[in-house]
Amino acid sequence: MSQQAEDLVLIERAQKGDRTAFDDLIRRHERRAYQYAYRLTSNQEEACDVVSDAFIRVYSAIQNFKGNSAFSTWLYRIITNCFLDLRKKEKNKSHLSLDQTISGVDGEMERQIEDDRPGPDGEAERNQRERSMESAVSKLPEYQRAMIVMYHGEGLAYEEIAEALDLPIGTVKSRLNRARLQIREHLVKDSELFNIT
Amino acid sequence: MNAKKAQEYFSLHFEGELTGGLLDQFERALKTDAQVQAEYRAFVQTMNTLEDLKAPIAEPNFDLHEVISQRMDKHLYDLDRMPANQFWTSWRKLAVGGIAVLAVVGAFASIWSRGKSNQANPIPSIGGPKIEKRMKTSFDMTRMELMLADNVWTLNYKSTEQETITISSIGSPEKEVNLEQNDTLESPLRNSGTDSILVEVHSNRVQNPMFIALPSESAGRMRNDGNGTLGEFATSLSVAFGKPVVAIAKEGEAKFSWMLAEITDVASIAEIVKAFGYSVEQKENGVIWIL
Repeated sequence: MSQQAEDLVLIERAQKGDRTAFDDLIRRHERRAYQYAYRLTSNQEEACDVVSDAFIRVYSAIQNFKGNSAFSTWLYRIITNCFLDLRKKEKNKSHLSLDQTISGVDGEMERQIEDDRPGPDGEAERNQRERSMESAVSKLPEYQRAMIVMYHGEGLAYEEIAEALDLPIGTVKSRLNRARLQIREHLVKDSELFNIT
Repeated sequence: MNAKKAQEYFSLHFEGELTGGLLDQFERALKTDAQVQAEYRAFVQTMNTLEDLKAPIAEPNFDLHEVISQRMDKHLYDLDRMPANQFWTSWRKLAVGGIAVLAVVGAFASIWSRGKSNQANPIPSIGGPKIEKRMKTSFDMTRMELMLADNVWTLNYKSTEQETITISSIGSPEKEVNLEQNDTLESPLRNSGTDSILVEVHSNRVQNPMFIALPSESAGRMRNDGNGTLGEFATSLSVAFGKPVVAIAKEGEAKFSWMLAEITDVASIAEIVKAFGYSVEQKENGVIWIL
């Protein structure tokens, strides 16, 4: 039985109130959900919050799932919405996010926050490159960031992204192109590392 | 094609999706324009670097599943304790408005739980019950049936969780029933009046109500054109077809307009309701469902 078919069996059981089936559904998708959320937030705690919120929303709306799309696509959509809601709340609270800039006397400077993620020794350049990439991605508007992460991080097809974000494929492609151009601009600052001319 | 325009096609060209005249223009610019060349080279480098995003990232904490489960439990626990006054207010208005109407809705409801029958709870006094926050947008039709037995229509509803169901109709006393998970509510509905009546069903777990329009058992049919709410449309249809109409409300208020002369079958009802995201089904026993 395919992963999608197995999901549908669990969903049908969950729709009948079987909490164990829902628990199994979480187990099957929590890792990938976390990975996506982490790529969006770049923060373990926030990723955990986003994933938890997302599964609560899935639970509340499970009766509405008709199986027209894959469960994972639906889950991507819900996680994206949870992430956007989280950022909206943060903006309302006027908190500084990791990638926000602080205005100083000499103009804007990047807020420096130590990255405590583990990285193997001897791969300093690769780590630096990955960090630069993540930093460039984190500077994108949230919606574009979600698209970039879905396509380049999660390997979703344009059609799946269009479905998850409820956008026409053409719009997804043009916005992704714009997002890539913006990333390029951010990375050009690191031209020495990347040999970009 | 200038450099700015060329940028719009970088992704398409990189993925080999640029064709025809646009491809020719783009490649001409790429050969002759140094700025386009430099920018496209940087873009290709970026695309390659974006591959790094596929690299494995930090593992989730070992207790991720526990954290999710605990938060879900807490969320459900909080929901159980959250009052929602709006629902209570809404059905009380119906009670006030229904004094002079003759229609009568069935007098009792019973619950079947694990093979045992329990009497429905009495109607609470005002301010009595604590109404739970509703979770679902609409009633789930797969958990209910409207059946005809001995000339009495009976609503059967199976709960997925603990919930309070309230059944009300103008001119009849409201019934409130508390259900445990997987209980089955069995509620006969009778209309001994001379016109169709509208029964409104609420759950404290569902945001929007369900309407059951019951045609009169005795009077001839009156056909009315008009416009109005989902419940009013259902009532009019029950008059026209002489069959009960169950309408499960969705998010947002829908205002329907109808001319009964144009409604000849289920497909013509579907034409009217589809603009508001509803569909229509007619069951073997003739009951029309608007979903």
